[in-house]
Amino acid sequence: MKRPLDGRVGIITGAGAGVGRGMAVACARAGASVVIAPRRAENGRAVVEEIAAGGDTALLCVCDVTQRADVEGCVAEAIGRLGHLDFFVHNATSNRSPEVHRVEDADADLWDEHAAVSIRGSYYAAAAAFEPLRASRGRFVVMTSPAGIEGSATLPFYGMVKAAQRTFAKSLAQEWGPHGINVNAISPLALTPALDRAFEENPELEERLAAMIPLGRIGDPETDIGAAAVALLGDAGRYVTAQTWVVDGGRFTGL
Amino acid sequence: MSHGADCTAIVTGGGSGFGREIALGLADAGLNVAVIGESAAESDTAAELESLGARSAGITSALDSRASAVAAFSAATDAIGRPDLVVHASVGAAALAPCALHELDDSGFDAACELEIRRALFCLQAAHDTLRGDGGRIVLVTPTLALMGAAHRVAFSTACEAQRSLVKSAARQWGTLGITVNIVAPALDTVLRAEHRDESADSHILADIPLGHTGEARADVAPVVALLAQPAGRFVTGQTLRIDGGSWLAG
Repeated sequence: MKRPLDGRVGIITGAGAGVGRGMAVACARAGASVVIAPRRAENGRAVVEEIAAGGDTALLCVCDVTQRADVEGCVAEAIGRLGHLDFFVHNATSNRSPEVHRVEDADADLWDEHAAVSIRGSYYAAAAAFEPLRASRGRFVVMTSPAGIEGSATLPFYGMVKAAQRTFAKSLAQEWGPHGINVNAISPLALTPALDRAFEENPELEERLAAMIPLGRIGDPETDIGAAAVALLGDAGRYVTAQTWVVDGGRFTGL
Repeated sequence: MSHGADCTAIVTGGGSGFGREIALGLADAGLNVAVIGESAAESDTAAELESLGARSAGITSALDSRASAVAAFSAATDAIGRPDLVVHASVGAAALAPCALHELDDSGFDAACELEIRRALFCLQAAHDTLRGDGGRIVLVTPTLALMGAAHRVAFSTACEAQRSLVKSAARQWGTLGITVNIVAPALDTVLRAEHRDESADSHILADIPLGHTGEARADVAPVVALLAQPAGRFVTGQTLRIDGGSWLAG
């Protein structure tokens, strides 16, 4: 049976865990060959093995998205080993993303950690992927968040980079439309390792959060977020560009 | 906070170009205005503001670190008194130059995007330090480009939206300090014309503006900034007020 991403090749940064892993597994199960591009190899190996165990194709390319050479190396590896590039999903975020801070107290280093991964990383990814995506009339995706749309009292810098990425996608979609490349943002709400840890520490939290979601549950990285990513990256997404897909069970209604 | 002669503002980027037009418009509205910027024309602009009847000072600073922003804000406060209003209206020449994203090098991307964000962050932090205690109003002036996006302006529009989110988060965190933080957003062409980058609006652009003409920084944008310093602005925070003749009506 034909699968929606058969024959496609894609790179997913930060795919060693959480939503990135979920999207990578879903894309591979949908037929894509996926380059798993985490910052640390040990995270990515398990995902590659998981995909291979199901008979699908993945390869590991360690990628620190704050280094242009790493991102270019990943694109070169994808093309060298898999022949072409059809999509690039920049999903990685700074490890310091969950660090609560106040605007007036936060130092320039904390800002730079956020900006390096999300803003500079988006730029490096787009610059490195442009020619191959133009050749394949491919897709480029960044990840955003309600924090970027309505601000955040606890994570201002996370909100800033997520806002930045949303407009990055809007503008790049307009710039790349004539080249046949679609650019979008996904705003997910899903169980991640960080949320799992929070729930372990505070078991009532999961129930409280689920109660705030119209669909009554917290999304699954693979079957909820990954499925939406497959749709956006497949033929369902042919005429979708410059958009934010909010995949969060109805939690955020501000768009 | 009263209107007119007792109201004092700091305008970053106010020495030249778009920021200068905003500063002049605030002086037109009766505010005292100190300008801070890196154009080296700050003293000349201060003299011009004084000729309009304002108390003024011009301080030259790159605003490229928190320390430099704090020092410049202190100098402005020493010169004309504690501000009621801080307006961040600085925009660099590199940010306004259109360029395909993949043709930018690292320093070009930094100048068009991340430098603009850092400068806004440092100015907001300095504004916080200046206004904490008695409260006050902060306004970032940044184009509607952030909302619409545009080809060949990926880097700058990305910076504008980061600034818009910064304003929303600061509004959330500083509300109980009596500090409001808002965005006043002109159309990009209003900024470009004030910066003498004449991309004259053609007829199809004008047709998209319900009010039928493009906006002027001094006459159309600055009065709305001044309005936010008045009692009318006391319960307004985290907002983006679009001053674009009705061009963007989504949301």
